[in-house]
Amino acid sequence: MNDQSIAGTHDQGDGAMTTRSRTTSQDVRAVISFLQRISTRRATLTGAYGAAVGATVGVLLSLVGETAVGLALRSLSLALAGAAVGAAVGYIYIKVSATSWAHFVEQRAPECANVVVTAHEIMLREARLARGASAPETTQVSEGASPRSGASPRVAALVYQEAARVLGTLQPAGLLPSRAAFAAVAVSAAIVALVVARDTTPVRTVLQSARTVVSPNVARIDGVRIMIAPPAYTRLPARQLQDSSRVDVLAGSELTLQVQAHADSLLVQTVAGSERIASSARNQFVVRLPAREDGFIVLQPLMNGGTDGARRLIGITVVPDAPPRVRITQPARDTRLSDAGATLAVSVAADDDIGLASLRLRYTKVSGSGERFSFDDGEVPLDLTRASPTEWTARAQWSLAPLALEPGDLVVYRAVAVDTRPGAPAQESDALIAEMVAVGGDAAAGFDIDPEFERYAVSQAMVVLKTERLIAAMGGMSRDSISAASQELAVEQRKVRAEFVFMMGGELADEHGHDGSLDDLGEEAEAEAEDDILAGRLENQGRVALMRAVRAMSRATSALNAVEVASALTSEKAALAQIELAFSRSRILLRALSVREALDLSRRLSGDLTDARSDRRAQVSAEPDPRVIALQRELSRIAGIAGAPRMDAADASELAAIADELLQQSPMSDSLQAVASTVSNAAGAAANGQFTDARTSLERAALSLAQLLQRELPVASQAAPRLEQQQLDGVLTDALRAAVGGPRGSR
Amino acid sequence: MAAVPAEASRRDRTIRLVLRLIAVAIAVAAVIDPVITSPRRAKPLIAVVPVDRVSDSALAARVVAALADDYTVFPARLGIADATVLVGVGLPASDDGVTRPTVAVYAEAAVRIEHVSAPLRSSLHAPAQVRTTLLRAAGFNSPVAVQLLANGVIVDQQRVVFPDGASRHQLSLSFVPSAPGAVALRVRVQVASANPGAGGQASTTDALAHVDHLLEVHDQRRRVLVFDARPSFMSTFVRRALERDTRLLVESRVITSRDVSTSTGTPPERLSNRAAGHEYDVLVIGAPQVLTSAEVAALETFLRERGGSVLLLLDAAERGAYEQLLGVTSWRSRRVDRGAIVRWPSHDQLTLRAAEHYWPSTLRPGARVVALGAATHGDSAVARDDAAPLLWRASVGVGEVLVSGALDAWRYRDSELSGFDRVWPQLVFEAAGRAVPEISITLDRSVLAPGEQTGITVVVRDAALGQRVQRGAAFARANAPIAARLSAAEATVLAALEVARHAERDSSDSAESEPSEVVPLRLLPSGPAGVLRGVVRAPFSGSSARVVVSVNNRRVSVPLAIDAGRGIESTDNRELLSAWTTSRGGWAMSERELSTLASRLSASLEIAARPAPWRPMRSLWWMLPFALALSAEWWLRRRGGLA
Repeated sequence: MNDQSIAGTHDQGDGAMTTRSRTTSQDVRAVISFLQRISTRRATLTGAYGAAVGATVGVLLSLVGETAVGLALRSLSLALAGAAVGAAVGYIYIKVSATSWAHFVEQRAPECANVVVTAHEIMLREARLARGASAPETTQVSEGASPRSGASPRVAALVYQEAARVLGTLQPAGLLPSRAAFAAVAVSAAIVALVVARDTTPVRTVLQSARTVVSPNVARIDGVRIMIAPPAYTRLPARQLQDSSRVDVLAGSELTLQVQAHADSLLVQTVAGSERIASSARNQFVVRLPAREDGFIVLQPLMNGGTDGARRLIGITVVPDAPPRVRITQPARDTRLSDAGATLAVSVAADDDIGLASLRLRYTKVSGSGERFSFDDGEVPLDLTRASPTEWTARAQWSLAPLALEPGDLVVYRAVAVDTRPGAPAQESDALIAEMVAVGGDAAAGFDIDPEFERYAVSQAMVVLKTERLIAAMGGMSRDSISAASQELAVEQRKVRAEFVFMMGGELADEHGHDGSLDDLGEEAEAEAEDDILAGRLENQGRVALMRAVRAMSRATSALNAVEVASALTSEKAALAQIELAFSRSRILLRALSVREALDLSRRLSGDLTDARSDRRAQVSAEPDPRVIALQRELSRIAGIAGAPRMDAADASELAAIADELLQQSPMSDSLQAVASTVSNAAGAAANGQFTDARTSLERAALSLAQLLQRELPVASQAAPRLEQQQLDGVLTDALRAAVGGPRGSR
Repeated sequence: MAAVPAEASRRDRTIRLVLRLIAVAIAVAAVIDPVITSPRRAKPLIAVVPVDRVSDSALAARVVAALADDYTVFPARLGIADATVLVGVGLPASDDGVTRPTVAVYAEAAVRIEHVSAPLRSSLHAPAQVRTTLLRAAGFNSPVAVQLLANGVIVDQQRVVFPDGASRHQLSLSFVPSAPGAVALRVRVQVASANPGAGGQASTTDALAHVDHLLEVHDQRRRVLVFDARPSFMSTFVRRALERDTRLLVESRVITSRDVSTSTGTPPERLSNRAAGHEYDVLVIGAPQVLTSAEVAALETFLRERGGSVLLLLDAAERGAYEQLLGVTSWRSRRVDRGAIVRWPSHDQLTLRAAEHYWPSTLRPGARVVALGAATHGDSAVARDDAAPLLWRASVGVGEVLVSGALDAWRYRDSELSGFDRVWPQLVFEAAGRAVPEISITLDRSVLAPGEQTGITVVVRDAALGQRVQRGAAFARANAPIAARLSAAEATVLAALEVARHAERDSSDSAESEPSEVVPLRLLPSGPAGVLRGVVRAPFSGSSARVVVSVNNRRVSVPLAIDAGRGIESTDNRELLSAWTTSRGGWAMSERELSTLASRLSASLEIAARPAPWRPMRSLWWMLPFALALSAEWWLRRRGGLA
């Protein structure tokens, strides 16, 4: 039962009270009022403590995470939120706790001599009895005592009167001083102010001025603000970073660095080179550069006649705009048709990281025989659903009747998506085939889908057609797009050529380049065969024609790689003519098939043995990877400095050089950037005489670099066994073989 | 009345005479120093021997103190001691002078390094693996940080939490070489804090144990001969992969027809010559199915007398004379669509892919599986019941033959599908590492304190393996008379310790620098033929040295580091120590049980009574009666007024 209910109980009997009882009621009110004031004050002070703690925690939390611009606002917000939460928790905690405030007052004011507690207990009991909720009285009631409270009304009145008198001499502020709470709030406010103000211009200015006074001739960087403007087509907002050592940006973004430095000039080093720039305003330097590829920025303040400052390294990771992904989700497989008027239900899905611009379904109808194919292009209207700018789906009920397909004809179709990046090439889905089944079997076995390898069906005639289309479209295309399209055609031409060379027994070259080895064919065998052709030793005209076709394809590939499309078309057509000479009946639709593995080994090393001579080739000695060698050299230098018994300031310059050279090795490597940054920090620490910190950083860098190198090098080798163990193994094996009666060796 | 004084005077005189006689008798007996021989139980003589003079000396002093009351203690090896107490966790370099029973006392530590396995030499182009086995004491549950330091800089580290109930933990650390030369490696174990520090480094406290190891980084390549008995796709592509590896120097010969071949380098014309290919560490044989019996016999000679490795690259499921080398009589084969993955149980990073599999129905005794392939193209070949040993190896003499039954692995060379380019160089490089070198030098300990000794073992391969060996006769040869073994060596072996002039920050040129001091070493035949042993003492000046051995003018050297601050090194092989001491009638015990050592020794020693000389007059106690007699005699004379 709380003090408010006690007061209510006493109010209920006011109508029948005498003057004394009215006085008693006033005393009771005074007591209850005082206890309520104490309760409220205690809750308020606890709330203040809570606010102080909450604000401090909140502002410290704001320091965790990326050092972005706007720290002051974030810190202030978190501090206020923490303070509110802390105050609420403190206040509510006190209010809901079952604290006896009468006992609290007695503890704080011994002069009350238990009269407050006694008065409070009498009130409680009277209130309980008045509400009929009290338990049966079990205690003996003395003569003349009140049957309700156990005390006579006179005694109770006297107790109330004395309690009111004593409490009248006390002040809540005296019992609960607020000094400590105010101190806590003040300390918290100071912490919040420090954190909030550390990013503000006045504080920075004061600190920078102090540094300038202490070391006027030492250049330094006080702060670097990085403003990142994403490409316009992305419609992403610009953002800012403060003093960050790493920047992740979308390709095409513009970076602007505002460098606050106490220096005469600023040396800016990037992958592209070094540049010395002057200040745009007092101690302000502005560096602008586009983010096109991974790299780094090294900033070093320079002072004429003074000491150059420590370098600051900023790693840049450029995230390219990913091309859209598009796939045909229905029917998601090749289809064989028996009815030329069939309707094909097609579903397409596409997504992109930034946004899609268009989604279309294109088809090519292939009809004819031999190399006399005809190709008709077209587009199927789609019903587009844009779930979001980055995710589109489309459906179509495609009636094939207008195409007038005949047995043996087929339709190759694929979805094409373009994203919002200007000049971005269209991305195609896997091509699927709808084929009219010819009477008597599979007319287009060459188009059978091998699920493991690519699905494109490519022929020399198709290469010619695509080249002609490219030439027709070149007028409206950018130079980069033409180059990309030409390169794609070169790849297709190379695949066709590969099939022919393979068919003719050309040797697979063992070149392990980035594009795998299966498509790379040896030039030696082909060149040797070319000699045979020129010497007229090859009487098989079909083989000669194919050889010439292959040569023409090689020229076409070279021309396409050089983006000489017109020249390539000439070579492609020459190759097609030679193919038609060699194969007049069968149609040559070629693609990469796994059946190439079924080589006839008898075709290898063929010839007359009497003409064979031994051959001696130059011995191959593999050269180590220059990058690995360079990293090993840097690791050796780092370990040499870190492991030396003494370190001095002269090592700082060497460490700075090591950091630069590490970056030069592979600017786009995140891990190498991190190592270089650590070495750079070590250089700074060594320059400031903090050799212990420098050594710690160097050990960390050495460990990281060793782990990096470990990934580049082969698997670690183990210790060799001892000779005794090998001898024992050999004897044991011999003994076991003799025991089981196995076949004997040669001796 | 006058008779009484006279009688007293006589009595005093008699007493004085007796006292004088006693004193004179003692003096005369002392001068004579008589010897009495009688059966007696003498105090046992115990030799206390620290295994490591530096690290175990403190514990040895405590052991001496514990035994001094009950035994005669001698603080070094003593061949006549009644028992020997070895102090430390290692085994002694030799048992010379170590008498039975032998008791070992070792210090107790929370975590000890039981074993460290690291190569003595490592290629500059590959990391070196340092395998470490930790042993924890009962009740120790804290995580530990195991760090590998190279010249004092941490180059690798791991945080180890012992699983419940496990007292051992094995881990591998990698050292990435950065320059040729000697590198002082140290495996250090520290108690790790709960939270790793910045940069992933474990925060650590004091070291619990460490072990030093000297590694020599070199830029030399292993010589490999690829010999194709006929042109083979498999061998061709393996050879090209080997030629791209910077650790290997590949020569090759492809027999394309009779008397027609294609070669690189200067390989032997044929394999049928007994000494063919002995200059190579590894022979890679393509299409071994067409080898003749004579060529197979030559390969066996290479394996047994050269101690090299042979890799047989089967490319067809065909039988042939090569089976004589393998001891395989029946084979199984299968074809897997699109190629099954071949996995290495010991190497997660290495995989191959092959569709045509060929393997023995039963592996020959002593053969070990290297890699397994499954019957389908699934990824879990190692765990499947149908896994077939597509790569396996077996010892032939001291050599080793590896057999590949992944017949068409060459078809799957795309790095996305298969590790073809990584597997074969690694396999061949490791096989080359197991080939016996022409001269090998092994130091029992390669990091020494100034003045400290260590054992050196030199093996001359041609002497050790050059005899024509009959199967099963190797033990008999090892036990042949010393004279025969010496004559078998047929080599002049000279050894010396060359001390570097001064410490080099970059040790890469230490092998070439002119030494300031050359100390001849004495090597003696020990054990099997071709094996010589000696002792190297670290010089008191200089920081590094090289042990140089010349055999018939061929010079080989290994580095030796001299570390004045070498601290407690605690390689711990307690089980081996316990077994060894038990075999010598003793036991191994912890330092915590040191108080029981004297009583346990007393119970185990049977000291029989035996005739022993006794010189009774050599006791100092004789001084007491001698002085008392003279003093009393003087007092009586003084009382009688005679003095």
